[in-house]
Amino acid sequence: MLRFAKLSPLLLLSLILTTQCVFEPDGENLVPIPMLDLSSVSINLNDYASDTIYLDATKQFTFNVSGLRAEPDSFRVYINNRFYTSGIPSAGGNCNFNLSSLYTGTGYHTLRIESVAPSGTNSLGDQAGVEKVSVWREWMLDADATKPEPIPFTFDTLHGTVTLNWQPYHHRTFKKYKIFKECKRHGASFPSICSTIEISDPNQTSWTDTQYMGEPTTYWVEIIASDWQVPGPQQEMNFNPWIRYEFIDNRVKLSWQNIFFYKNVSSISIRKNNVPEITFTNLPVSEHTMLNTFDFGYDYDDYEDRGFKVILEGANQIVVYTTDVFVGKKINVGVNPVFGIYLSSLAYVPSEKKYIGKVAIDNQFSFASFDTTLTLLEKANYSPSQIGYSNSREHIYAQIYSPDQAIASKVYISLIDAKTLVPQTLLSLKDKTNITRYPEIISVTDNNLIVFNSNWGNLIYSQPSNEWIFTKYYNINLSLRKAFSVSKDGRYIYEDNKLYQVTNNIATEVKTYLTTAMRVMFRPDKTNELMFIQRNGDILIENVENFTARTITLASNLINLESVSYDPISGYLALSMKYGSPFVNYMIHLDTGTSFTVKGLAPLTVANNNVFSSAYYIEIDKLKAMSTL
Amino acid sequence: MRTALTLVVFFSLGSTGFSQSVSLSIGYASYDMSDLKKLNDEWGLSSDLPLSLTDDFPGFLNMEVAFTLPSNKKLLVGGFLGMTSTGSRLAYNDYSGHQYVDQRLFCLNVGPNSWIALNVSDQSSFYLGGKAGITYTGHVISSELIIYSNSSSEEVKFSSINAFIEPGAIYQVSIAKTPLRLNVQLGYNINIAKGKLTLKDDPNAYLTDDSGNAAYSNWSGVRVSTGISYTW
Repeated sequence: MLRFAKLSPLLLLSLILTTQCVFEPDGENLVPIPMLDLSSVSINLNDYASDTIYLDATKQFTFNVSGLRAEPDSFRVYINNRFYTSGIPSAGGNCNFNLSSLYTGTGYHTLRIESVAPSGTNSLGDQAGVEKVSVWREWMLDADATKPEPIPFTFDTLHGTVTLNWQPYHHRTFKKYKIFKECKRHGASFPSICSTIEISDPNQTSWTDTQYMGEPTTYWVEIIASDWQVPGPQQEMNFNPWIRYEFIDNRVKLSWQNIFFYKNVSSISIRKNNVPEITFTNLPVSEHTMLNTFDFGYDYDDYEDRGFKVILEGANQIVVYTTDVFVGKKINVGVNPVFGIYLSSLAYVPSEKKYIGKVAIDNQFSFASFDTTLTLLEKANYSPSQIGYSNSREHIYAQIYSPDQAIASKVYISLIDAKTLVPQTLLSLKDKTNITRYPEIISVTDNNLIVFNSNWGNLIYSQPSNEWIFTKYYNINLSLRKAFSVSKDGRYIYEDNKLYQVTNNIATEVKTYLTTAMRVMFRPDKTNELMFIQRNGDILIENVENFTARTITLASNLINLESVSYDPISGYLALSMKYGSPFVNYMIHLDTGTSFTVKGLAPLTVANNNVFSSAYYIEIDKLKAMSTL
Repeated sequence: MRTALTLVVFFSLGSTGFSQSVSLSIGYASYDMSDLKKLNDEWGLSSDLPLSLTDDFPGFLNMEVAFTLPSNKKLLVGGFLGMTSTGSRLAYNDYSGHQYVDQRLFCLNVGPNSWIALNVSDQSSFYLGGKAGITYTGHVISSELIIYSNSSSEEVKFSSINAFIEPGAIYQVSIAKTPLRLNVQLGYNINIAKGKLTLKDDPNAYLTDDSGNAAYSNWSGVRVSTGISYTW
């Protein structure tokens, strides 16, 4: 142990050496890097050489940094030492940012641009991208953000055009006046900005619209100062000239209000029924007379192209004024027509000086009476399915349903009081015969015979004797009715190509005809004249007492005969043929044999010297004068 | 523990009538390390930075504890335990930071030694002989990057076993009339077998150069040391 104790210092030294004397690399390779010299660094704000910058709107500032070893990779902008924005340079090294005086507000401010770039020393930190150098520069901002007041303006329309006038705006932030014109272009559904005009001279305080021709247009003046865009109050200009037309014989005279803004109009074109009529370039002109080709009547399905268009053409646009054209007067009764028909079963009652018929109200017909101006007088609370008039209008029968509606099959014939339209006597045909179907009343004779026609038979009921005096029955499946007519005095019957004479309520056959006439009927106002309306356009009128005949020949064949109407007061027979649209109507005076043709938008009805076509009517003589066919 | 047991056995032999000794020496050692130097060359070339070799496996302190078994003074037989270390550094430094790629090597040598006296006297003795043994190498490759206040580092550890012989000579001088002697030792270490530097975490992986050839630690080199021995 003693020896070990003596060796212990040696062992201790050995242990220390073992643990401490281990090689440790400690070399350094310090690479000298030149100091960064920032003395030549400069920040150049393009377009602003001065240290003070005037700012009166949004401006784009562009700057670049020179003198650095590396291109900047970011920048930051401070206004009054508050962060404003930051960005990165573009490919060329330029840095851009926008600044508005609305942001700074009016006054003096400091603008500080700070650019950050890699140091470019190529040191370890530089290569790692964590060693940056930041340089900055400050400018003084003189900012003005004064908000202008809205500018009102006035119109000057006295010189053939429209001119806007306003008060000038003088302020150093003024940029421009901007005039907005909002109009609804022809054919457009909604108005839109059709043009804007910019005026950069603050002393120019008026602007003339060299294109305005009177269309509804809204203007306003906007003032742009600093970054403000302050629109002024809007005002609308709308010149809506009157357009009138007047029928003069077979011509129509169109006139319109003198175009107020004539300076901007280079031509005026007239279109009639959407067909070009004439173009005027030698202005001013305010009327034009042309051939009347308008159709009579009113067709609610097809009126858009009926009328005149006065088209003003200017430099870059057109303005269209339109007016519908209606031939005749509009009836004062009836709304919501039934299948386009306003009046039906119309007849004039001379003793009462009024019309009787069915009028369409809310898509339903009602029995009613009208005065001579076609104004409603009385409206019954029922609507007969058929109405029969005697020529004298003394006897008027209507087929109406039973007041007891629960018995729907009971249909009554009722004598009607022309004054009150009140049913006077209910006559149940079922009580008088065993027929189960009711025929249609087609006429009543002056001696009070009620004439029925149907596709299963022709019947005559004598109201005075309360008996059926004529009955002919046919196969119910026949699609065509047999021709059937009775003279006004009840003495003669035409039925299925046979003429009968009635004596003491007994019909005796007196003649058989071989005819293919489209219609055969007695003249309602003549006792002995039987008319054969034939396809070749001939109307053969035979006197059934002496069998002499005369013929009225029309200009063309009769095709698609739609309706036949006769006015005993004027003596005119109206034949309406549908060739598609519109109808072609013949107006034939049966006594003189004269005729004229009327194109109409609906079948014609004649009564009391007037012609009716759906919602319009006109005196026959006037219509004849207007006729050009 | 094993060293302590050896010492107990060693000191218990002091009562046999023969003399024995224990010595502690410290000196200088140089190393070959050609494979690892080649690695530094390759790493320097592949770096983006201008790395320079600031330490290139320099010669370093060599320490050794040795003993001789009881014997006459003509033939000394014993053993030794030695330790030395070295390393290298690829470095780049500037004001913003540095990058270091270091290799640190540490070795423990253990084995028998034997010496034959050519001249023995009470004042001085001169021996020829040598050592043989195995070398355990601990090898650490580390890299460190510091840029301003940011740093990163990584480290991998290898180890290997080499065999060596080290012929040499010892000159001893007595210090006054004490049992202490001053030793001066000169030798040359030759690594006669070199083991692969295997990855510490994966014995199947080992250190190679860019060509895929195994890189070895080679401790061959001069050994010069001086020390004190205690004889009884």
